[in-house]
Amino acid sequence: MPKSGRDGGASKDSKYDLSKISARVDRVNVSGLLRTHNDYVMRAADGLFKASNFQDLMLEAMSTKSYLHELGIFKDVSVHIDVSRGADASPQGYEVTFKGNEMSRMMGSAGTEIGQNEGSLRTELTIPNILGRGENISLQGSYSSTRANDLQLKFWKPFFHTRFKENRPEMSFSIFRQTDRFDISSFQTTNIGYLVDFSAHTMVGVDLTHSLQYENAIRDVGLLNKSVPFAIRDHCGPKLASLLRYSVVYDNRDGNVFPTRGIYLKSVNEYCGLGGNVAYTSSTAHGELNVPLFAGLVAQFCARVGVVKETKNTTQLPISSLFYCGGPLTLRGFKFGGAGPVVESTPIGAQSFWCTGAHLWAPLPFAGVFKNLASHFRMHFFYNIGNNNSFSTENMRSAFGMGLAVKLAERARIELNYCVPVRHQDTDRILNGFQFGIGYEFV
Amino acid sequence: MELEQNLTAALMQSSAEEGKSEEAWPADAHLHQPAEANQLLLPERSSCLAVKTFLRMCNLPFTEHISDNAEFMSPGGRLTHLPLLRLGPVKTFAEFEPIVAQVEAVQGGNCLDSWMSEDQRDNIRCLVSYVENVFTLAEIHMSFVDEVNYQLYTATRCAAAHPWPLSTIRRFAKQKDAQKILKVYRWQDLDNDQVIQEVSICADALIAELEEDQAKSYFGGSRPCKLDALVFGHVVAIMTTKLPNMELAAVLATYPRLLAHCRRIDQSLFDGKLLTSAVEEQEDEMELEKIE
Repeated sequence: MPKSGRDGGASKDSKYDLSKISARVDRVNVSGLLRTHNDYVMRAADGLFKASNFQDLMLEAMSTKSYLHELGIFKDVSVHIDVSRGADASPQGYEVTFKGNEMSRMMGSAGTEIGQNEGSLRTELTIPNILGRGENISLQGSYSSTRANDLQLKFWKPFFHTRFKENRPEMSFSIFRQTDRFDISSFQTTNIGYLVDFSAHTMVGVDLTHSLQYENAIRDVGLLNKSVPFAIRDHCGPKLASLLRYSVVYDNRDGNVFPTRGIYLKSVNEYCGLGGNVAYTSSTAHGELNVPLFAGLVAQFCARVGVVKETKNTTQLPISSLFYCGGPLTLRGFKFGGAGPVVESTPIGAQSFWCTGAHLWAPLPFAGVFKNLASHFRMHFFYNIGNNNSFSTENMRSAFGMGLAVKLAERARIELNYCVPVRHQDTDRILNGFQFGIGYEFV
Repeated sequence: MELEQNLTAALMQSSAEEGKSEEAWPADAHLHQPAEANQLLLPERSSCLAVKTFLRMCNLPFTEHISDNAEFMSPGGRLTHLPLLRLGPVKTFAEFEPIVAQVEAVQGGNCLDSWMSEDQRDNIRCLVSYVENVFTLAEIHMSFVDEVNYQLYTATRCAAAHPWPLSTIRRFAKQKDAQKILKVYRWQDLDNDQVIQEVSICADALIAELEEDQAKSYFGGSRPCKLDALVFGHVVAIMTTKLPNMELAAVLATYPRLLAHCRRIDQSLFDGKLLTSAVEEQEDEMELEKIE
C-alpha cells in the first residue's frame, strides 16, 4: 500500500511540471520572408536560445510570435515546435519554426475614428513594409462630424530590430493638412505643414513613453461668419509656426477605458518660436488615479492643467493655442468652451486652466446576467471642479451628476451624463441636463 | 458695366435703409491698414486714402492702426478688402463704398450728400461706382500685370509681412487673386495702352462733370461729396506712389483741371502735405533733368 501511493505521486509530478523537462533550442527558422530583409527579424530568436526547459521554450516562443507580429510586416504568424533532427541534433534538442504571412503590397481601410468630442469617417491607404524593414507609407483622409476635412501623408519607420528593441524606437515624417473648427468662437484654423516625430520607451525604474516632435506649419485663422468680435478677428491671417513638442506618458493602469487600478500621467510641452512668426510656450499635464473599492466599485480621481505663456518674441498668443475649458471632456455641465473667458458673448480661449474630477464607477446592475455585454458599460457618479486664468478657488466652476459610459474599440468611450452645474459665472454657458461626450481622455 | 452699377446702387440703398436706426458715431473708431512704407500696395493705398479723406470731409474722428493682417481681418469687399473700419467690438466694414454707406446711415439727414437733389445723388453714385471700378482695376493691372512694376514693387510688398516660405506663398496667392479679379471684369487681356485708355475715358468723364458749370469747385457743386474723396484718393495715390512704370501718373498729369481739384482738397484737408508738395518735388526733379 505505501509503495503504491508513492509511485502514484511521482507519476503525477512528472506528467504536469514542464519546467522539469530540459530542452535546448538548436535552430530557429523564420519563413515567409519575401520583401523583408533578414536582419529585420534576426533578433526574434534571442530569447529562444536562452531557454533551458520546455516551459521557458514555450513562453519564449509565444513572446517571439508577438514580437514578429509587432514588427508590422506579417498579417499573421504561426509557430511550430518540433524535435531537432539531423546529424548535428543534440539530445533534448528542438527546432522552432515561425511561419509568417507577409502583408500585401497595398492595403486600404475605411471606418470611423474617435477624436476628442468628435467622430469622423476615415479612409486610409497604406503601403506596408516598403523598404523591407517595416517601413510604411500611409495616406489618410478623414471627414469629421464637425465638418472639417483632414489629409495626411505619413512615412513611418520602426527600429524594433536594433539592439534598442526594448525601447521600441520609431520615427515618422508626415505632411498634413488639418482643420480645427471652433464654432463656439466663430473661427477655424487650417494647418498645413510637416511633422517629424521620434518616440521611444525608457525603462529606468518605470516604463515611460517619450515623444519628441518637430512641427513646421502654416496656420491660417479664418472666420466662420461676419459678426465676430474684433478680439478674434484680430488673429486672422496666415502665420508660420515652427515648434518643438515633447510629451511623456506613464501608464500602469490595468485598462485603457475602464481601469480598476493604476495611474496614468501625461505631460505635453511645446516650444514655438524656432523661426516663423508665432512664439509661445505651452504645457499641459493630465493625471488619473484609480483605486479599487468593494463589489466592483472603483474610485477615480482625474486632474488636468494647462498653461500657455509668452516668450520674448511673442507679439500675440495664437488663439488656436489657447485653452477652451468646458465640455464633456473637461468640465461636465458646461458647453464646450463655455466655462472660459468671454468677449462680446463669444468665448475666447484662456491662457491657463485647471480642472479636476472625482468619480465613483460601478458596474451595471444585473452585470452577472449579461456578462459579455455588461463589460462594455459602466455607471458613474462624478463631481467636476475647474477654473481658467486663475489657480485660486475664487470663481470656480463645478458640477456634479451621474451617467452611463460605453467602451468603444478598447480605446475610447462614450458618456451620456445627467449634469447639474453647481457653481458658474454669469457669462458661462451651462448645460443643465443630459450631455453627450465622446473621446479618449476624460477628466 | 451699367447693370453692375445698378446692382451696386441698389445694394448700397438697401444697406443704407437697413442701418437707419444705427447709433451715433463712436468716439473710438479705428481704421486699420497695413504699413504704408513697405506693405501697402497701390490699389490698397488708394482705397485707404479715399476713406480717410471722406471721413475728414464728414468731420468724423478716427484713429489709424497699422495691422499686418488687416486684409485678413476684413469682413469682405470686392477688390482690395482695405481699409478696415472698426466701429465697435463687432461692427467692421471694409472698402470705400461699404464704409460710405455706413457713414451715411449713421449721419442720416446730416450726411454729406443730403443737400443734393435726388437726381444729383444718383448721378454721383453712378460715378462713384464707375471711378472705383476703373481706377482700382487700372491700379491692380499696373501692379500685378505690368512685369516691371510687379517684380520691383509689388512682389516685395506682398511678401513683406511674412517669413519665408510663407512670403512666397502669399505672393503667389495675391497675384492669383489679382488675376482672378481682372478676369471677372475682363481686364486680364488688356495691355498697358488699353488700361491707360480706360483711365483716360474715365478722367474725361470726370472733367466733363467738373466743367459742367464753371462755378463748380467740387463734383457735387459748391461742397465736397464722396466722389471728391474717391477721386482724390486715387489721384493722389497714383501721383505720389513711386513705381518703376509711372504711366498712370503720366496720363493723369495731362489733366490739370483734375489735379487742381485734388490740390484744393489737399490744401483744405491735409494742409497740402499729400499732393502739392509731392508734385512740386516731381517738377523740381524734371527741371533738374532738363538742366542736365
